[in-house]
Amino acid sequence: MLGTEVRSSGASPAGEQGTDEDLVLLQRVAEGDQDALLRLHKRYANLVYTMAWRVLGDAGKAEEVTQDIFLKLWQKSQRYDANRGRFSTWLLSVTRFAAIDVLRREGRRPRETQLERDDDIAPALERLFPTDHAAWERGQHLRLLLGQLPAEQRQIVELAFFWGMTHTELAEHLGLPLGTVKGRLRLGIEKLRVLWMDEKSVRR
Amino acid sequence: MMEGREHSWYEELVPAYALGAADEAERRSLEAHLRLCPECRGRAAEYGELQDALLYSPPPVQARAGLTEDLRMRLRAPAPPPRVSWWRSLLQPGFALAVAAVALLVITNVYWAGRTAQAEREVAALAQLTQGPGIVLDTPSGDYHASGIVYAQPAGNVALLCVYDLPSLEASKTYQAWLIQGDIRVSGGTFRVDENGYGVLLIQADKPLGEFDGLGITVEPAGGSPAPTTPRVMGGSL
Repeated sequence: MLGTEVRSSGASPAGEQGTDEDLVLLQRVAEGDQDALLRLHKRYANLVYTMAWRVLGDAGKAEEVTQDIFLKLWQKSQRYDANRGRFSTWLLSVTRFAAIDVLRREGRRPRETQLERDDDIAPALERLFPTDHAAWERGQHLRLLLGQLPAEQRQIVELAFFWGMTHTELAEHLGLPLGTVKGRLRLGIEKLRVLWMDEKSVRR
Repeated sequence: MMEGREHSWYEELVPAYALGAADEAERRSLEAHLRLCPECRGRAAEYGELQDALLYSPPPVQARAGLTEDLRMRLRAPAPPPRVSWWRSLLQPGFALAVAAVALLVITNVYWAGRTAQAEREVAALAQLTQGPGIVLDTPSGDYHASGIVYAQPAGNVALLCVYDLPSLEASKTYQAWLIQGDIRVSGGTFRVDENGYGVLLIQADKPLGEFDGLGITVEPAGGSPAPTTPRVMGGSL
């Protein structure tokens, strides 16, 4: 359902003013306004494409997923509920699932992530993501924290998140006992969270 | 529902559950437990924040220029004509009327498909140009939400201009494209837009397009002008 309330918890830092505008545009999309959909596309295409490319590693497939996400928004087969969080977070989440579906359907292999920090990333974030670039800054930093995990923990966290693998699928893919997979994944996620919380407390 | 599990089993499952990695049976069992345990619900919310942050962790990548224009074209694609089971319609009353209505619909769709096909043939003739990245054009004033894209190769002297959502002009006026080099304006030709604001122009310059700084579009009297007489309505850097 398209909500009319703007989420008020977790205050909007500077640069994340898109939320109210997004709701107005989404309402206009629901009323059949193509121009509103195209405005949303201009604002969020890079965001959606980034996630699709991360999962699929193929520009053409990532483009297909990107366009499909917005077409489904237009056709109302994807519905955003404003009461459940930021629009960009919802978009990224549905894109991740859509890209994982393509990955599984086509039997593609997972890719390694890029962990190095790009020194030009700050201006790139502002240019590519006109809204939510603060969230992107935090996310980029989280990616660096992933690099601090032991390699086997990092690998399993990425397979679980970016390729949608469950415990059983991970055990099969990695050729490991189920118990080992569960323990390794839990430890990896817990350690990542500790690192992240430590950083957040330092940066306050 | 798996009863009799230690609470630690549920606690330890929360991180994987937050990332969507729990197996189906595990997920159902934990969700039943979450309904009863505020402590684990809090833990799930904490790991849910981590999950949300991970969504923003991929290295940023720029999508191809022109993706929005591609979406615009897909939104405008005509709907396919409805399928008709001819043998079933033979059994229905008013068969002749139904045939006439479908025939009219098919003829209409063929007509519009032909109109679209003509425009697409023009574009298809320059398919090689459009394989490369396009340069997106904007409207400086923001009075309306038109946009455009130019496909060109710097070493070549041919460019394809596609514009979207430009207002239709009265018969005494036309749009004119200009190639910009410093203070010099070279006419790239004139064009009109259809009822949807869509226009296409093939530009042939006397020298490589890489020698020009930008492209602009103005409104001119029908037939064009030797130099721009009105402010630019759309433009961009080449």
